[in-house]
Amino acid sequence: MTMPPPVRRFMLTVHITTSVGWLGAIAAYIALNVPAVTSTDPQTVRAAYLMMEPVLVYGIVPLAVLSLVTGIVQALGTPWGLFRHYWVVISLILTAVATVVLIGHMRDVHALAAMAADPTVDVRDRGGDLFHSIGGLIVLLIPLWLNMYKPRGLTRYGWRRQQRAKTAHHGTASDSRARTEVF
Amino acid sequence: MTDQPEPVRETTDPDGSHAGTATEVRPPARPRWVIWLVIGIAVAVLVLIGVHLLMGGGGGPANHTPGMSHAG
Repeated sequence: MTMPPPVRRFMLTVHITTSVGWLGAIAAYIALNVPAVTSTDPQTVRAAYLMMEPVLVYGIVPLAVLSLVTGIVQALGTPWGLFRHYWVVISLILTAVATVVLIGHMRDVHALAAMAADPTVDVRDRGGDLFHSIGGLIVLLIPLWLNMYKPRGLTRYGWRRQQRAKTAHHGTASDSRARTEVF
Repeated sequence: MTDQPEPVRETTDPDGSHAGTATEVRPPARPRWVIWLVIGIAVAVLVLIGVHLLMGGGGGPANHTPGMSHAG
C-alpha cells in the first residue's frame, strides 16, 4: 500500500505543516498563559483566559487531529509502516495520548473562559493553564526528536516482516537462477 | 519522515556477533534507547502526577464554578 512519490511528498508536506502548526499553536497558548498568571490587571487576565478557548478549539485541537491522521497515513503509505520501527510506534502512542488528553482538557478551558466571561468573578490568581500547556509541549518534542533522528530499532513485528521479505526475495532469486539453468 | 527507510542492521545479535549457527535467526533485542525513553517518560509522568496533586489535588479549572472564589 505504498503511495506514489508525488502523493507521498504531498502528504509529508501536510504532515509537517500540521505538526509544526500544532507546536506553534501551543506556543501561542503558552504566551496567553503568561499574562493570565503574571498580570495584576483584571481586564488583561480576563482577556487572556477568553482568548485561550478559541486558540485551543480552532487552532490546537484541529491541528492535533490532522497531525495524528496525516502521520498515520504517512506511516502506512511508506515502507516505514506503523508498527515496524520503535520510533514510529512511540511517536504514534505519544501523539495519540496527547490528542486524547487535549480533547479531554477542552472542558476545563471552556469552564475557564466561561468564568472569565462573567464580570462578577475575579479571575486573578487562577494559576492559568501553564501546567498542561508546557507538559503538552514537552510531550510533543519527543516525537519531533524521533521523527528527525529516526533512531534504529525494529519491533518484533517489523523484524518478522523483514525476514519474510528476505525469504521471499531469496526464493524468487533461486527460482530465477533455476529457470536460467533449465533454459 | 523521509521517503525511504534507512537500511536495517538488526540481522545479527545485539553485540554485533553471529552467535548462533548459520541457519539460526533470532529476533533483535529491544534497543537501549527505547528502554531509557520509556523509563524517562514513566518517571516524568509520575513527577507530573505528583506535582499536580501537590498543586491542587486534581481540582482542575472545570471544578472552579463561576463565583466560587471572590478573593480579590
